[in-house]
Amino acid sequence: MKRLALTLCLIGISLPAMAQSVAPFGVDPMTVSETGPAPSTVPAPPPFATEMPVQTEIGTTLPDPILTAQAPAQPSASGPDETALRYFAQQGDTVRLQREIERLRALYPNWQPPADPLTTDFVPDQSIVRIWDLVTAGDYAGARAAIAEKKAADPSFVPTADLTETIARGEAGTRLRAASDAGQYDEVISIAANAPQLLTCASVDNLWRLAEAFIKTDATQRGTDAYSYILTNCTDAPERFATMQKATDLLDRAALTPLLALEKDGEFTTLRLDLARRAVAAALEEDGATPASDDVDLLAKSAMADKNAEDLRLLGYFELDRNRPSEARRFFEAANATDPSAASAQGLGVALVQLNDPAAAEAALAEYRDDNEDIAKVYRDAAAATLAREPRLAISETILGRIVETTIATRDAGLAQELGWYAYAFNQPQTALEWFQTALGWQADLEPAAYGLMVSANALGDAARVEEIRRTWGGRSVRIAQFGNLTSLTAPPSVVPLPKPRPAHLTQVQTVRVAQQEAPRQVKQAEAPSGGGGGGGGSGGGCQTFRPPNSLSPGGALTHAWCLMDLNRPAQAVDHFGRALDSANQATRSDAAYGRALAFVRLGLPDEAAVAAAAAPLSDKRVVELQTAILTLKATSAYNIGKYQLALAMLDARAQYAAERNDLLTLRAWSYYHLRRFREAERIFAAVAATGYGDAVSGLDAARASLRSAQSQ
Amino acid sequence: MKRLATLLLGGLMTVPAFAAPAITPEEWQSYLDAYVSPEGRVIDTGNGNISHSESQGYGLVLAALAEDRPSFDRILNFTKTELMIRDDGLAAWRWEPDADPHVTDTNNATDGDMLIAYGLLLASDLWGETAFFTEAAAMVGTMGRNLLVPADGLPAILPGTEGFAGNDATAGQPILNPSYWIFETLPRFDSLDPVIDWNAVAETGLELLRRASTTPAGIPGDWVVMAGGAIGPAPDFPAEFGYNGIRIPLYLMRAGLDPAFLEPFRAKASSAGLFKIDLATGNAIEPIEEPGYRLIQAAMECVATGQPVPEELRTLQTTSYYAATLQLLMLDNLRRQRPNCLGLGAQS
Repeated sequence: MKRLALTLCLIGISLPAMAQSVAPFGVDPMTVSETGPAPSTVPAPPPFATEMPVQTEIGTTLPDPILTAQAPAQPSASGPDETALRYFAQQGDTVRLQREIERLRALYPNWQPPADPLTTDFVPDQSIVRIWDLVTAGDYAGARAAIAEKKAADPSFVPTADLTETIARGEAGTRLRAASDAGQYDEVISIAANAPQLLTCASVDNLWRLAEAFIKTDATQRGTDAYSYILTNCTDAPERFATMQKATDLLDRAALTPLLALEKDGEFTTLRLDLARRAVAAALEEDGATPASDDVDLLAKSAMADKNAEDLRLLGYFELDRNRPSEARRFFEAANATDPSAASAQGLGVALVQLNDPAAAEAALAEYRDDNEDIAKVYRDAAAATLAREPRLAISETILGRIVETTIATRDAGLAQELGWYAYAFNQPQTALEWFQTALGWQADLEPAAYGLMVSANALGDAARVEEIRRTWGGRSVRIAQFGNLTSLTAPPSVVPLPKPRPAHLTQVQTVRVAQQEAPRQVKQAEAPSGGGGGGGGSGGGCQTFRPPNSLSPGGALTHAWCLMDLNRPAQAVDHFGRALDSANQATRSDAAYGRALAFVRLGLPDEAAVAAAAAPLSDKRVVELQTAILTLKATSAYNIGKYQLALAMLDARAQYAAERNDLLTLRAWSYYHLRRFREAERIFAAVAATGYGDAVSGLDAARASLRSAQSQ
Repeated sequence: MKRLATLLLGGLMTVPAFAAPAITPEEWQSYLDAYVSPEGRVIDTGNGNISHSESQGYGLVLAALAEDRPSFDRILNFTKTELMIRDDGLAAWRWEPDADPHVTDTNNATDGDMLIAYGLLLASDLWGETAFFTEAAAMVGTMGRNLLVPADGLPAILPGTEGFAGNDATAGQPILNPSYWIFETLPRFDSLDPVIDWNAVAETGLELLRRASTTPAGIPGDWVVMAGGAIGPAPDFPAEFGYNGIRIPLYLMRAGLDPAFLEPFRAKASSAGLFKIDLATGNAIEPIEEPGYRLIQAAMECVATGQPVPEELRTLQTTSYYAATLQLLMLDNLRRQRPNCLGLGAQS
């Protein structure tokens, strides 16, 4: 209030009392005074205020003071018409009553206002009463028409300034709302500038609309100022809350901070919390910004205090996202305590798996494992990790029972294979062999299952089966081909690329080249000529000249696409393979999906590659090839951005499709190293270094140094 | 140009002094009852009860011609508060009663803006309100700067700020609506704005009619393109002369322009009245037959032959907003300027 009074003083008005405030965009002073005696003196206006809560362009277009702006109605000898005065008195409109008294006094210096304006001895001019009724009802068109009618009947009639101002203000308000509704924001600002009387706490909607107009026309600071004006001067609690809500919708987080500082008596607590919640949730979006730590703390404090499971889970996923699984576990445990549910258990399970406690994860998830596909998948991951845990855990009958049940119900070949290895580890090669067989029955190209089958057949002394597996799988798996061949362990790898200084330097190109050489050339030669669903536009002479994909037939586009791949233009090839997918020919479509996926791999876009690969059925061999390439990419890119746990998971997934090359083994070892699992790192570095792989030697040194320093502490 | 100025100014006989309004209080009241809401909204009853800047503009012009200040103020109130919300001060072209917000498309329609400005000028003349004059001058200034475009090298009226600039299909020439040349407004606008040559715009409107007179139909389409010294129907619009174009002879007569310009329109009418015309063949498509439209045809006959208009067309028929509006504008002109067409003896 102090600030407002100051502002009003600056524009030349002193007021004995104020109950309603006006935004100083240029002000009709009279709307501000609600009651009290007329000011005895009106000080001369000092220079125009420079410090205004909300500035528009309009500083110089202040309306003239009403009392002097308009030529007074010609005083008639019979004295003033007191109709309006009595009308205001009857309406209880003390503001207008006072103004009318002042106006009449200015016109008729000798006139005395009636002692009781409510006495009934006065006969009001009914036509003026009617006009004011229309104005009060908001029918400004009707009021204007009535004024015109009265003028026609009585040419000397001059409406009071108050009346015409009130109508003009009402019309400006209607225009402001219509312009705002129609999104004509410059016009909203212009109307407000010319009718500053609209901008009062009593019509806070107008202020909201003006703020929005400023923000929508990139005058964000002025919009913020308008909200700030409301929060500084207006007192209606629901309107203050709504003001902050509107600001929240239109301004970014940083701009809201000074507005939140205008809070009175904790009125914005729920809004602050909501903002914190939004900020944390936004961090989980793609490219989401990191929330302010205040927001995280606020949400965490509130969620813990209120036991809000929804918020607790949100915080849990937030912590998982920033790789703090034990913080995440704390939130998910709290969520699970207050809301034992699939949603809580799922988050907890993920956190526990990341904390390398898969058995606890399995236990937390078990009850909900059939609830939905998402949680079922997390459960199977936890179960697989439990089975694979080294050193092997002794898993109880009950738990093993439900893992087996899930494996069979979902025909999960990966899990079946893990059950095989688990049985094998506990010296049950026959059981192991059966699980490996089952896994292969569900997924015929699952190399680890084939390898497991070989190992357990070997343990059972079934040499015939060992050789049979070597025969059918040897071409696809080095470890199967070389099984039992002790020399192979130390032989220098012939196909492994030259040692790299760090696994992080593994490039996509290298990865892709491996994938590319395995099949697409033959594919192109063998299948492209038979492809093509329609006539028109073959590729003709090579693909050096750009051809829009849709100008080619699907078959032509396929040939063109492979040609582009040869020129190492995968981005263009993506589009041409896309065109080839239009073919009616299954082989062409399959080839196109495969090629498109390869092109994405070459572009370093594993997710797009996975989607592209699903566009048409592919041969098992190609699925394996693509999955291997995609997972290699994912592993290396996860490593490159420091997500070592994820890199390991990707390498594990990749191991289902192909044996781990030395470079990837080194990547795995470095991942362990960064996760401070030095012993595991050391073991792998040692094995790979034994093959003469240089990078592993430096890794081995690093791991051993870390182990030593860890022991010495 | 000089010839045109003489033609326009010499023939100008829009609103001469007249003891009483040419539109009677009774027929004006029946117009108000049929088409104007208490809020001052002029309702297009033939068009889903929407309003537009054109209907509001006609309402303002008619209220001024009927010398009804209360109604003028009502209509102006609605026009300004609900439609004149564009950033450039012109009116949004359409207001829909059932839409929220009521204005969903803020494009303008230039003829609507011209009518609103003209209505304000008539009101300013009649009631001595300088505020009306100031508002009209601002609108005319905006139109002169933003809505005049070269069409085949001639200054022409762009029908709206958005969507009419032309494209490859029009060889870059703007799409025009010949009925947006409200000829009586143009000399008035010219006198308001020393910078813009609105009389040259009027000359373009007549040139457009001259070019149309050499086409198979002899009259222009509702939407046209001028290029290469010729005129043709605008692509993506029906190649028709229709409800837009029927205003052209009305405007020509109201502006007192050379009756020779009326001849092609008269030739396309018959004793049965006006028709929608297929521009390619010049053949009639369907009649345009409400009394308001038939009066335009009868007035053309009177101008050419001196034959008074039929008795039954001399009183307002409130069949539809559009026909009634045109009929009142035509009656206003006949009563002021051509009493012989109403069987009332020589022109005053």
